[in-house]
Amino acid sequence: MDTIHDLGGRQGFGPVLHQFDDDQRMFPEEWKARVWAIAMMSMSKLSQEETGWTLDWYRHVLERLPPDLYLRFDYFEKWMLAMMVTAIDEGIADVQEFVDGHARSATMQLRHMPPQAESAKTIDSFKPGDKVLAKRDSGSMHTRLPSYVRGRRQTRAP
Amino acid sequence: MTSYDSDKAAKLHRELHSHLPPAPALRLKALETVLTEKGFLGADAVDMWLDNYSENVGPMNGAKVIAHAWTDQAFADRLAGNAISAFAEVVPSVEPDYNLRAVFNTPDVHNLIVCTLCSCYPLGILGMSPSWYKSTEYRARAVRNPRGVLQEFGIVLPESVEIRVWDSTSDRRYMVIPQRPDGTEGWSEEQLATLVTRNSMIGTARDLAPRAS
Repeated sequence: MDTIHDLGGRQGFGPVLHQFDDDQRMFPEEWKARVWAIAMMSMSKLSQEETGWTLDWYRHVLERLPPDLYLRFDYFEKWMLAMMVTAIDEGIADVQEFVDGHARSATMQLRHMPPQAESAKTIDSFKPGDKVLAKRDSGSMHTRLPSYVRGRRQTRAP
Repeated sequence: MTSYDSDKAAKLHRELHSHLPPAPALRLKALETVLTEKGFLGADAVDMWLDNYSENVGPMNGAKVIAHAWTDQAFADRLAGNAISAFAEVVPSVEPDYNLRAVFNTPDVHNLIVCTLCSCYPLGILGMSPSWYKSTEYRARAVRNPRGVLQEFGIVLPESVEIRVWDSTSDRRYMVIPQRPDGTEGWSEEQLATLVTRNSMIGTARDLAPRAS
């Protein structure tokens, strides 16, 4: 999708701040560590339950944050909203429960979706030295083709 | 069941944001409480997960591998050819099919890693990325003006040094193998590993120096 998350090559952003984090502290604040743990556990549970959830869909959910919030939010704030959206979309909880901060009931509607056939791997489609022309357009879902590459001709690197 | 309904996701973001308290700590409490009360997450699961993560995952894994590569050229070659299988020789707990590529700095080449579309990073191996790595400023500028970004990190490279910027994808993650610093002949791998910083494995540090201890 062409929205604000596709940041590569954009101009007008200032210098990089906080360049020297403490390597001994993986998470600068406790709440960020907990968001991370919740997200990782939720993702592996959704995969185990085979609800149809995929990481690319989750990336797209993050892309659908309103652009102003996307730019303003801390990374882990984005993930908190995206995890709530995911939980609601999967039938685990509803908006009101998150707003209340409590579950009304202990039931959830996790539904199984038969695994879809994976599309062919494309990682080895080109050999080093092959000439490649990147597509000009992307679809409306998640893509790994950043806009700064689109429409450009290049040679595949080794 | 996943809806794959893009507009529904956008609508839910707005709805949640306008009704939730703004403080991140309160949002976290709501998220954790609801998922636990639903039985989706087990009680104490978060603490247990974090204990395990901080014990097994982190920059020390990369530091050990780099120190080993500095002392064993055959290992360095294996690391260049198939990073994850070489990695597993030193850190056996890594996922065997993790798609990792190691890129080596030389006197003439400097490597820099970014993820312009999200913030992909070898999280399952090197732990959480630094805050600046996830910032909009870094993601926007690293591919367009890498020399300028490096200068902000105190690295001024002559024009003769080629800069290679690696934009991570959801399928492949990168780590930089910095050059072994001069004056470390005869050091043990444990001593060498202490020189490796998280920034050096991303490429925003280049010349590692023995630290005063």
